[in-house]
Formats: sequence, C-alpha cells, structure tokens
Amino acid sequence: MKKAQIEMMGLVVIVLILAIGFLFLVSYLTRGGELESPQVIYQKELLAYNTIGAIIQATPACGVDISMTDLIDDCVSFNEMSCLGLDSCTYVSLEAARILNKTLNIRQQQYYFYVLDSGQQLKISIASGECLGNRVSATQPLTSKAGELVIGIDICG
Amino acid sequence: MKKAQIMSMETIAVLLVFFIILMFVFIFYISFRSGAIEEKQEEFHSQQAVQIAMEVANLPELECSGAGIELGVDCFDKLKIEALSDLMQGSIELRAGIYQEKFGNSKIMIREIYNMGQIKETNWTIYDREPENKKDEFVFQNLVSIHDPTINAPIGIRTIGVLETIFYSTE
Repeated sequence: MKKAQIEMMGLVVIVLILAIGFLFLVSYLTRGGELESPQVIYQKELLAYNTIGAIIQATPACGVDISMTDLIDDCVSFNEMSCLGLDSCTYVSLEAARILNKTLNIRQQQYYFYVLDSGQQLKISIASGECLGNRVSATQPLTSKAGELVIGIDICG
Repeated sequence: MKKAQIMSMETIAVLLVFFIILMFVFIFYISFRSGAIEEKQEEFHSQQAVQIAMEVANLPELECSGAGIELGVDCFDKLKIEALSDLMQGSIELRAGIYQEKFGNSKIMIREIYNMGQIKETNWTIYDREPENKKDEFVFQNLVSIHDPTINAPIGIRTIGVLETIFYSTE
C-alpha cells in the first residue's frame, strides 16, 4: 500500500470516530423531546381516574343523602335540583373547580373537566388554562335519567 | 532535523490527536450511559412510591367496607384512618414489624381536603420511616375518597382526600 493510501485510511478512521461521537451528541441533546415512559403515563392515568371517582362520589354541602353523581345526573337531565341556591350544573361546576384548584392546580397541572350528555352535548366544562405538555385523559360513563352521560378529565403537564 | 525525525514526529502527532479524539468519545459515551442508568433508577424509585400507594389502597386496615360502598376509586374509612394513625404513632413494634417490611423507607400520609363543600385540611400520618442516609425522595399523590360513617349513619358521607406516598432512596 502506498503512503498516501495509508494516510487516507487514517483520515477515514478519524472521520468515522467523529461521526459516531456526533451521533451520540445529537441523540443526547434530543432526549428532551422523548415520549413519557409507560410508568409515568400510568401514574397520571391513575390520578385522572381517581380524580373523577373522588369528585363524583363526594357528598355535597346541600344534603347528606345525595352525592355529586345525583347532581350531575340532574344537570344532564332536568336541571331542577338546587344546591345552596344554585342549580345543579352551576353547583357541580363551582365545586369541581374548587377541588381541582386545590389539588391539580397547586401542582402546576392544567386540567379540563367536562360532562357530556347522551347527545354528546357539553353540559359542564371547566378548564384551568392552556393545556401544555403531555396530556392524559380519563372518562367515566354513567347511566342517568336522560340516558348515558360521560364524565371526563384531561390532565396536562 | 533529519527527514526521518520529522516523519516520526508527524506520526506521533497524528497518533496523539487520534487518541485525544478517542478519549473524548469514550468520556462522552460513559457520561451518556451513566445518565441513562441514573434516569432508570429515578424512574424505578418513583415507581416504588406508586407501588406503596397501591398497597396502601388495598390495606384492609384502611379500606372502606360496608353497605353502599361503590368500587372504582380508592376509598378509605375515616375511622380506620384515625385508628391506624394513632396505633402507629404509639407503637414502635408495629412500625418496625410488618409495616416496615411492607413499606420500607417511606412516608404515607392521608390529607382530607374537601368535606361537604368545605375546603379544609386534616392530616394523618399512617407510616413514617425516613432513613438517616437518605439520598432523595420521590413523591406520589393521588386523590381518594374518604368514607365518614359517623355522619348520616349508617350510610355515612363521602369526602375527598389526597393520599401522599414518599419513597426515600438511600446512598
């Protein structure tokens, strides 16, 4: 082999090493954009489902014999129940917002809580702000006097 | 300087540059790998906090029981929370026995945050074991339902609480 050929080989080796190093650098720098791990998604989903469950099972201030589920049921059907002078839809919206602000919002987690009636009409909708970052959703279908209703929450960030 | 000397100097210089580049690549690779391992370790520890929360949710000493209890959400009985919290505070044997085996180096708290329209906080510490050689702590919070059978007995009422588990990693 001639001397020039050997030098070319050396150059090729150096370029190869630099290319591998560059590849590692690029993959290291772009790691921030990776998707969340299944464990983190699971944690958020657990929180989302439990948040819906805890809210709908809570006893409201206007009666020990009813639950938020009864008020949501009334909200999507006849909206004739009243709680502390407020109609059921308004009461549930205000209370859900208070609970979510006390839990998710203080942890800088944005949320979107909603209730859809059987015709997919939005009956209750509360949002804490713009949904940035990864989003996890949970829904809970329920049978109401007016048919199937869906309670859902999106937790962001 | 002779031509042969210049040639060998050149070879040494090339080799030096080559090994310096090789060393940089190696250092970068090692730091990259150790970062990934650390990340995996953190993920594992934060999963431990979730695992503890799930074990707490299924403790017969705490979970809701009785008629009218719906499934689908983690539910704790307020009387059981108070009783277990008092027992744990007063008994070293209990803390160091089966519960230490189950929960290791961690802290378990339940906070009642919403009670019939009132936003207020009542805290119970169920278990607390912070190691001296603590390195880091991993927190997991989950909303839970709390059944209070003392109001509107025997059906009781439902309030909302936060189950907070902290897992302590050690050095």
